Amino acid sequence: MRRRDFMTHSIGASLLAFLTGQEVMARGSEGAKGQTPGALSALNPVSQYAESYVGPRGVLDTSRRQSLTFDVVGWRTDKGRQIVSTPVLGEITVKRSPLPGAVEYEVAQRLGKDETMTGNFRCLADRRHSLERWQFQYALDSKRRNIASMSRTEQSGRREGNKIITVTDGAETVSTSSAPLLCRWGLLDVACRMAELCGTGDRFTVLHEPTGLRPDQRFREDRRGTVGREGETSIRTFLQTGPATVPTHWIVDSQGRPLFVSVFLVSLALKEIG
Amino acid sequence: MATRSSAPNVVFVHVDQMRHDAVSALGNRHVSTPNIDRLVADGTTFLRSYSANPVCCPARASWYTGRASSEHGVIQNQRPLLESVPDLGQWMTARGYGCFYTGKWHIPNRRVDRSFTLLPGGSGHGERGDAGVASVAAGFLHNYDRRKPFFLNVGFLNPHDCCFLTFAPKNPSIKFGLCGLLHDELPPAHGSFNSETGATSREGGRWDAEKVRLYNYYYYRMVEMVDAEVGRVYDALRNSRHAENTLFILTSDHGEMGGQHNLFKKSQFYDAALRVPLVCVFGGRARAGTRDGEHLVSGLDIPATILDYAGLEPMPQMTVARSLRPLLEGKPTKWRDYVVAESNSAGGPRRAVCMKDFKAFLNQDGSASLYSLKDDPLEMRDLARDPKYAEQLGRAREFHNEYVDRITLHPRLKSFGKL
Repeated sequence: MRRRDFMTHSIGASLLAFLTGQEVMARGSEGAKGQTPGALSALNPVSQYAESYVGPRGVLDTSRRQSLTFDVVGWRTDKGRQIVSTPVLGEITVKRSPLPGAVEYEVAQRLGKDETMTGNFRCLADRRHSLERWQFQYALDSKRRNIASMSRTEQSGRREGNKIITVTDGAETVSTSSAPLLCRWGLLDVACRMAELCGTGDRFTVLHEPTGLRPDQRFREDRRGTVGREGETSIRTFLQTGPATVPTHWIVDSQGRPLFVSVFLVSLALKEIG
Repeated sequence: MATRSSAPNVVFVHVDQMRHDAVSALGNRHVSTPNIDRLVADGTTFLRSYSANPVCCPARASWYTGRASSEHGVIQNQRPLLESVPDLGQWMTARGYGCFYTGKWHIPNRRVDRSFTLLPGGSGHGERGDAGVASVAAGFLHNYDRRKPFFLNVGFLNPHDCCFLTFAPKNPSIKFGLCGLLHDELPPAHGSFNSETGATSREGGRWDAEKVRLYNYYYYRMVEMVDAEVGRVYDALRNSRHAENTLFILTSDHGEMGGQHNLFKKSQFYDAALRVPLVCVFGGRARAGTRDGEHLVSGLDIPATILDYAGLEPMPQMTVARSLRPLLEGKPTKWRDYVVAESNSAGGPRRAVCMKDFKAFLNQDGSASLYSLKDDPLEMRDLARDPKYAEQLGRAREFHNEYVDRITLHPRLKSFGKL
């Protein structure tokens, strides 16, 4: 199967569906064996981008060092009538390094011409990759150096039992939570088994830098579908909801790779595994 | 001239399209706003705060000029601000303040960098841009150490991102497939929503109750996103050397209909679009934990308040604006009996006269609507043709005519006229 095929047909269906205002259907007819209607609703925010999307080569192997590179994808409309483009707004690279009993993620993000975030996130090597400690720097570049330094945010944080201690630009905050603490970068590796996070009543706190901690996040499995010319590639979608989170889908292929993190105006698309 | 020892700093934080009641501390159980809740606990919240004109550009121009739309000329989005009308940035810079701006500005024909020192930050989307704006504002508060007092303006986008939701179904970025999965978590449809006719957005066509509920679910998450950013700025101020000597103001340019009366977005005189949150925090110089539901307040009052605390004279012809300072300090003062809001959206110029217990929508041809806010808070029963309420409607017209006499009309606009 050519890599291009596995998304093209499903996105062709998406394009046809949204131009006619109908709910998107996975490739194949409703009711066919293994098919579930509406699976690609989760892909709506990246639909135009996905028309020419070529999935990455390579598989995830959390036992070794790897890097995942994502396009940060937006969308633009023709005065609200239809999406006319899904521009790439930036790029995020996540480098994973397994350590004894832990996993470390080194993240570098660039958005637009001037927005950067770099950080290190250390997670436990448990099933959820629970976040143990982190530090990041966020800045908006400017030709005026005094302005650039003014925009810089630095945060470090750690989990100590039920306490979450964060230090932001020198000011410490201590919060208490018994909920597991996660980060988006660890979730990329957990995506292949995200169903394990989808228990009834389970709530998580998720770090969303540079803003901070989002409590009471919940994961649920949403619709599945099959894509590809022969319908042989399955996609599972997992929905994250909670305070300060517009419905966010983690979209995983049959190899457990997190192809998209589909949000609303700004989404991620996996383009390279190194 | 303002000097550091005598004049307070000002942080003016504004969000976009936030409804007055989208605050958990004020009783809304469908949204969680822990940071704005802290402002409510620490300061004075004005429960009867009205936008001067419930659309982005006109409301913002009124914030920064202290003048009504028909005075400064921004009667609709993209209509230009009158060149001769000064703005707060120009006025306060000339009088000794350092004036800084990050985020959304959106006042046509007035470059923000001509009136303020422009800091980086801001994009067309709150989802992407607000975090950067908060970082810049926080960094400013952490690093500013000049002798001049400062006036920092922080313009967040959210929850305005909800405007992009109504592009569906032609632009299906909203995930309508979630209506079923999230059914039990969706906020209920408002009492003024007519499920038989549904709500209509210009781009998106007809929406039934489930879609409207999903829209509001998204909307409240966007409110929560900007709440987190407001919290970062507030925390940065509290942790800085400026904490004790800074007036902190939070408001919104207008609200959001959210399907109420089967309408979306803004440009309406119903409370959902016209009433906005307004919270002022100033350490020992403004009352804490106070919720003022008595006094009628306009967006025009914000610049008057800032200038009052700064010890600076008002800008020319700020004849309608009132400083909120006596209300914040709990001092007895005679206050106004009405607030007028203007609108020039589809259908031509209109006025809203907001009184203590009634609200009138007035049209140029003399027709009107009248609602009893006490007996009909959903604004569903138009009393304008009921003889029992002729007196209230007559009062509204008198108040409007008084307003017309007080403002100085833009030289190139036609007067709305007296009624």
